[in-house]
Amino acid sequence: MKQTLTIVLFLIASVWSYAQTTADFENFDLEPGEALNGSAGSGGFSSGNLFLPNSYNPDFNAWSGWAVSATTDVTTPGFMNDLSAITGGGYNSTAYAVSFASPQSVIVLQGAAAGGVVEGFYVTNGTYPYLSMLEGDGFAKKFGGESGDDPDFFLLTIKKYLGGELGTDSVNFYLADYRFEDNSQDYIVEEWTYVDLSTLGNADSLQFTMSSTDNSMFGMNTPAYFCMDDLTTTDMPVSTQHTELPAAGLNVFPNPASDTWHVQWESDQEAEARLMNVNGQVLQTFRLLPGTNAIEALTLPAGIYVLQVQSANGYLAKTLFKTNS
Amino acid sequence: MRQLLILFLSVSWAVPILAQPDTAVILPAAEITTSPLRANFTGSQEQRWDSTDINRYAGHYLTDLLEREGGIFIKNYGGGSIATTSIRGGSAGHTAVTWNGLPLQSPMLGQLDFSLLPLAFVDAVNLQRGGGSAAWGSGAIGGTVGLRNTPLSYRGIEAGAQTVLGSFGFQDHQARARYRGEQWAFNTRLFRRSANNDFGYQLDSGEERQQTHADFRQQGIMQEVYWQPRPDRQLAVFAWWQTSDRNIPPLTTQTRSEALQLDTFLRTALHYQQLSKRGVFNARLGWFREAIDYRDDATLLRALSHFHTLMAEVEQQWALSADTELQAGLFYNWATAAADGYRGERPEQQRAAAFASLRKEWDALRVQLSLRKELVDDHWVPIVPALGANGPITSNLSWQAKISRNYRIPTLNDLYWLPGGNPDLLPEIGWSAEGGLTWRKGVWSYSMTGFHRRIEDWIMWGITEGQNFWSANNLTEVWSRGLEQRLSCSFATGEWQWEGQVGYDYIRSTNEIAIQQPQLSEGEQLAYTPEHLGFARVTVSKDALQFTYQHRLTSAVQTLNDTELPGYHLGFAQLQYELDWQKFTLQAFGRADNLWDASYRIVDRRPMPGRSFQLGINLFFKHNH
Repeated sequence: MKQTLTIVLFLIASVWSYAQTTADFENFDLEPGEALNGSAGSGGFSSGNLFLPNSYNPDFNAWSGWAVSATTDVTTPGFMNDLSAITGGGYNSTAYAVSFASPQSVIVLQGAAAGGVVEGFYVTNGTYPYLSMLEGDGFAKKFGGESGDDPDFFLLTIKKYLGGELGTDSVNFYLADYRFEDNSQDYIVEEWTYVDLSTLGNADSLQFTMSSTDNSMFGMNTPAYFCMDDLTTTDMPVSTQHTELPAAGLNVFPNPASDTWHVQWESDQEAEARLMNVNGQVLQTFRLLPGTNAIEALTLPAGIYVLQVQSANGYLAKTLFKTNS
Repeated sequence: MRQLLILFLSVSWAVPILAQPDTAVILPAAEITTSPLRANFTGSQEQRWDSTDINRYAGHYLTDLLEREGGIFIKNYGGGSIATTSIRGGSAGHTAVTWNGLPLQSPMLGQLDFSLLPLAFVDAVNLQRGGGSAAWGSGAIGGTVGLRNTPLSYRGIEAGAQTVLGSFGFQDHQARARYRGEQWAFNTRLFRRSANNDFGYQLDSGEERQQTHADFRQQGIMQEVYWQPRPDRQLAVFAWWQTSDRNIPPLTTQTRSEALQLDTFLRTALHYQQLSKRGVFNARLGWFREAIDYRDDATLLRALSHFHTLMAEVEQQWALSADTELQAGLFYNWATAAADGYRGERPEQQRAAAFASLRKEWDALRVQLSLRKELVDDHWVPIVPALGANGPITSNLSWQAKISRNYRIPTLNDLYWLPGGNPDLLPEIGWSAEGGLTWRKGVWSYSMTGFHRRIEDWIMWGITEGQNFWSANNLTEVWSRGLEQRLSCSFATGEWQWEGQVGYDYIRSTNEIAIQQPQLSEGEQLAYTPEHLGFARVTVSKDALQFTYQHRLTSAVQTLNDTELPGYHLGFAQLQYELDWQKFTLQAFGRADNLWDASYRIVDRRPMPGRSFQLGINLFFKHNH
């Protein structure tokens, strides 16, 4: 008995001893009203130990994936106001992240958090989906429908990727739920609400999928946005193989590339490599040989990719960009 | 309004006085028509309505005429809102619409908003069902609607005014003046129409609601000038200006709407026709400018767009012998457009086409072969032929058959809209076949037509592999087939004249290639394409009194929202009285739309009005020189 207690205490202590990092998006020093939608061509945003991929098309000023925002507009409906949280700011802060999860979005854990446990994060609705569900718009229905009795919901589902594989466990969070018999209990989330993700366990990245009861043949009518703040990651213990190798060990040129990426692997050992798209889907798995390796990019759609390298000494990740010639 | 009318009347009358001809010319039937080899293809069914038929629809829309008597499906978003057509299971872009022979479809959208067509601006309408691309080019896949203007058929003056008042604040006012002299003829038409559209409707739950933000105003003027310097040649000038200002109502699943749309257009055309011993020569020139201004103050959205299009066409028809006719022509079209979606670019489209047709008769057998070849920018559209024939079986029974290839070119939005426009799109193209029998005996007439059509490279907006935005692609193939039946009769019992018509269409129009986004399974009936359409009309008249009852049946349709809208029956009744006094005629009428107060929807989440009433008077003056 005493022995068991000692082991439990030891385990608790070891968990406590893991450092935690919170991605609060304040590192972009945004003033209220400002936002970053990727138009600077960054390809994504890093905060804490997170990388949030962003895909921005300058030709038509459209973004998908993630944006970082401090906009405060809680009254304007429609997609022109797609960067605002219905709370008018972050969780006890100015800045927050906005995801356009159409059809999915991912966050990549990096640095000490790669391969570790994500504790949880705060979530709320964007002003655009909130007002769309509350009042309806030209495309999407008012939740509850014509009678107010439709059992509508707007659901955020979170799954993890580990070792290139999508986990089967998921965490579901209802951003709106109108399934109650008593309509007065129906709600649309309008405050920052904590979602516990620790049950998902260790992860390389997280995948966010949105679904709703309002769909057409063209997909979900409800605008596929949600807002995130204060995502807490757990650093991996140094002794495991999840040690981040120095970035200088992996060089990619040209980057962006239109046909081939040349990957310089500065090591005397072979490594396992995976090329993933921004949805966390593994596109290729291959052995990375010491020296220069070539990755075919010609047939890939333009956008952002993540190259994950795992060797006996640790891991390394690099963001790759593909352009159309 | 009245001052404007007086101004136009005085202008119209002034010109012929100044241009008094020295010699009297014999008055031919000076109606500018399109070549019959194009307008009435051998082997297919054509339906025509003249000014008397159109008059029965005073204050109505062209769509009312087409769905009640043509039996075609109109996707109507509600009073005053957008209305598009589906003929034989085709899309909105598969109906070609011509105005005095020139195509009216928007080069940006490839279709026409039928809610902007006042019947008062049209003297004759014809509906050709089935493919007509060999004659009319792009878009004539499901059918072709032809609109025509004509001068007075006699020398003299006709002037009139009409007012219709109805439920939900409906008002329609029209004025027209028509003059025809020795060499000159003028038509001036004005209309103004508005409604509050604040109708009540019922939800499935039984809750009563009132439509909001659905009011509209439309006004327009059309001027036609016909000059006939010699009996064998005529020059006509047409100008049609119109504006429409409509609020866009909220969906039934939307609390409110602040969106509105302004449509403005100017359509001008010049038409020259020359008759010779051997045939008819037609030359047409058209220039249209049309603009749409969509705004939504709630979402801070404003979308402005406009297009210009220039069209030129020449055609000659020769009577080679008593039983052989040949026709050949050239068509050219230049179009350009501006819209936010083009990101500062001004896409242009140039089209050139050559077409020809030969009709020959052997005894009672008549055969027609047509061909058209079109070049769109640098791309050749495959040659489209049409072969049709008809002939008698017995003295009462005749047959007709037609096989044709038809196409629709991609619209400017399909090609150049950002994101998603695809400059590499191919035209939608495919073969159709139809055949039928017509039986006539005494006062009875019955026809039955079966059709089959496959359209490949059907353009849809969807998400393709590796893309994260919607784009236009040649995604699917659609198979449409069906059977159309018409039965009509007219007879007299004593002083009562009876006329009746019944129509029933069965239409299957299915997607033949499964697609993930948009989600379409193989063999699935297209959305907003009813399988069953039926209509019936009875008109009974005695002396100055005329009563009409019409009934329509539309079966259930799939919507885009994974839902099905139930089918519905609609009834319409009209009582008209006509009073003649010297050169004046007064028509007074009362009518009820949706007589049985059906609660129905044509488009998901868009309510339609229940029973409504209209009262109208039409006063006109005719003077025959």
